[in-house]
Amino acid sequence: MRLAGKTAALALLCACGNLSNEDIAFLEAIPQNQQLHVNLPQGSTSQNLCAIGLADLYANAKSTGDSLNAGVDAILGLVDAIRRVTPTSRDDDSRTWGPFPDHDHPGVQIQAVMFRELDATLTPWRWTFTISASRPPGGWLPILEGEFFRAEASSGIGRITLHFENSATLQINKATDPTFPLRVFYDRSSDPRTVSLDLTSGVNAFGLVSYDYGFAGYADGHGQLDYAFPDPKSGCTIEVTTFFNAQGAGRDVFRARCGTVILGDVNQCWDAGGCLTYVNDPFALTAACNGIAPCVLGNPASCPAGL
Amino acid sequence: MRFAKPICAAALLAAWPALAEARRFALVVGDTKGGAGTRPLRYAERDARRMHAILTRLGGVRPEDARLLTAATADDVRAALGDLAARADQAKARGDETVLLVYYSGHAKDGDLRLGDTRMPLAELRDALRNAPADVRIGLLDSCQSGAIMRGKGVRAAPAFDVQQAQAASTRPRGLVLIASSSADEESQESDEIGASFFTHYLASGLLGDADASGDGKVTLAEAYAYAYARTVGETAETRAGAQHPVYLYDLGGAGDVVLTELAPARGAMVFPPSAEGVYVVLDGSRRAVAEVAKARGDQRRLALAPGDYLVKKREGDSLLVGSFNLGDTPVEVADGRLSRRPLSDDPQKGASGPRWSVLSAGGGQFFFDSAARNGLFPPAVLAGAELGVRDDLGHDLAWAVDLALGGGAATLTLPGITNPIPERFFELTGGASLWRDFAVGESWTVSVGARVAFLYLARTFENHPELPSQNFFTLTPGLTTAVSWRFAERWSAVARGRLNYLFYNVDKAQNLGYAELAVGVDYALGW
Repeated sequence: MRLAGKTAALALLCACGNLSNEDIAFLEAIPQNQQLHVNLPQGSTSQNLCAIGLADLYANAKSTGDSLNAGVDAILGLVDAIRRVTPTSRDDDSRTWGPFPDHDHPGVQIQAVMFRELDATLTPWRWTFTISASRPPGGWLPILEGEFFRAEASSGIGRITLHFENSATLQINKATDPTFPLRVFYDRSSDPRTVSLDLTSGVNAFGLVSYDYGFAGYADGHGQLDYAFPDPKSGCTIEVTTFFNAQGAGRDVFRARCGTVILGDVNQCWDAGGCLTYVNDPFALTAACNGIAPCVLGNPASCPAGL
Repeated sequence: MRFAKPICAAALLAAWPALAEARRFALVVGDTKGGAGTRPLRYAERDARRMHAILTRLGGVRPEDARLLTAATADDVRAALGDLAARADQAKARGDETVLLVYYSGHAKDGDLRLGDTRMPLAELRDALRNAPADVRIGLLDSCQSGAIMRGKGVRAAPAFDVQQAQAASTRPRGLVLIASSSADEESQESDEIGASFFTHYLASGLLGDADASGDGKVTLAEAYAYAYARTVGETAETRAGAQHPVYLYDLGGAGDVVLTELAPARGAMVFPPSAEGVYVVLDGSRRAVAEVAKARGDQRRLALAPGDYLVKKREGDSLLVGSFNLGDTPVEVADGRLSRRPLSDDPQKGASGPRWSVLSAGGGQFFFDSAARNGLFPPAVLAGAELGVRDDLGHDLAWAVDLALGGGAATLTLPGITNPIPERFFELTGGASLWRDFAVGESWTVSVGARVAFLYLARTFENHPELPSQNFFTLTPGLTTAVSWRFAERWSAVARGRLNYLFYNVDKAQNLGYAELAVGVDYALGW
């Protein structure tokens, strides 16, 4: 019996590693960058000669999409760091990573905690995820909070809040970071799959103006992007709702918010080559109008159907 | 020379009945177990198999007239003896000269043969032989206190029979001969070095040819007894139990001797030329002694061994002379010049030769019993590896080994709520140390049972899910191991092996898991 006991003790001491199905279950609930990316059709090669003019707003949409993706990457970059680290402790329905010293910020500790809730069939339906930081003797402040629904992020719903205000408090922020909470919402549970980035709490983050950015992508490739950008020439903010099909042709409706004055709505259509096919701009905000208002160019029948 | 071969009167006598002229029947019994109060014998069954093989190959006993009983009961022996007696009676009725031989190797105590938990009085066996209808009845008993079978007049503890010279064909011997390996108050001894009981080993060696003192190619009962007596007494003189003295009761009417084996018809033979001198031990492929030749310079000796591969060793001073021989249909001469000199530490003989090394190459699979554990965590795996084993190092029939195996495979991980199973590839490395005991089953088969402590390292990756990290696990796993091996060539054995292991898994939660490993492979014996 003594030998058996020693053998069991030895086996216990030597059983080590990170082989865990449950760890995989936790990681599968966390969204990945590409799952929350804005994907706009690139269309065909840009034509040098367009009858009316280039669809510069759609070009703006694509660059805005890239900025949104950069924001998502920045948010989920923190989460991805966790994927590469074995949990420090495990309970039936929770995992804890850390606390670890933040090598980029001496004196700062970071830890992540993830909880799950199971339904009657023992299937996970809700997850909460928090990355916190502390600069002792100060307490823990949440840097990132997430709430995810369903077992897998690829078909789940969730929200992520990045607390830049706490990062600033802990002095672990970058100079270019905003100083207000930034929120991402996503819903991949049905068609369309949606992602929104709420920057309404502040101004200017990731090169974007304060706005509630939203993207909806359908399985067949068509979709919608709501975004805003500053117009340096007029000093107004252009707020755009863009509809596009899988080939990159589309239409948009935009308004110019100039202080408390809103100028709108302007309608544009373009083809897959990025050329305007129709413009109805009562304020001549479209470059192709050459400042002559009201401005109607092209044929509304040329607008892509179904958008 | 450690013994002096008695001068046997039988060597000069006409031998009768010749094998071709008599119908011979043989009952051969070997039983390692003697029931309560006895320790299992190691070699009783092997002794019986050797004698059975010699009698059917060289002793003129047709296979259908021979009965080999192992692990039998007293009733089994009675039934077989009755059957052979009836057959002998029928043969005799047809006019055949008949011989009935009974050989027994096993326990005997308090006047009984001990066959497992059953008993057969020695007196019953003696009476059965005395009353059997065969012309000549021979009882050969190799067991402790077996001399007790000979109550009454005529029992001799002498080195040779007093065989009367044949005067005419009409005086052919008829009657009963009983030979016991030890007297009524002596123990019969087994030897780990030779892997047999002393008496049977020397009786068998004599029957194979070394007892053929007359050189006529026939080994008679008198020659065999004289040889076995001398060698048994000589070789047991220095054992802890003391010298063992075979005894006999010779109650043959008529004259002449009984031929037990004829060497000439046998295929192939090992011939020791006149120049050979000393004690030569012949080993089979499993390094167990099958015969010995103890000869003086000047005469030639012939061993009628079955075709096959043999090793011959002879001690000479502080070294050994060792050589390999393949026996086919033609005689093979064994001369000292064909043997190579080795240090004593390289003694190839099992049980006395020290460790014997072997390499096993095996492939198989691993299977966890718990279905939840098989789900991605420890999926069924294919393993291939090698094992380096050492036999007879820690003790007789004990072996230890170290092994290493690589394996892996592809599997899927199914998680609640995850739509598609997650494919994974896993790699496994396992190795361990084993300790087991071999149990010989017949000449070629061995069953092994033992224990093993191993390490197991497992790693898995999720190729289609780059967002998931690779994982690994390491632990020690104690377990049991068993194997069945079949020696199909001198150095080669086919092995089927099974292991049962315990694994303590503690990452997600503490779990006691069990798994099995099954493998088949080929074992190669290194050196001699």
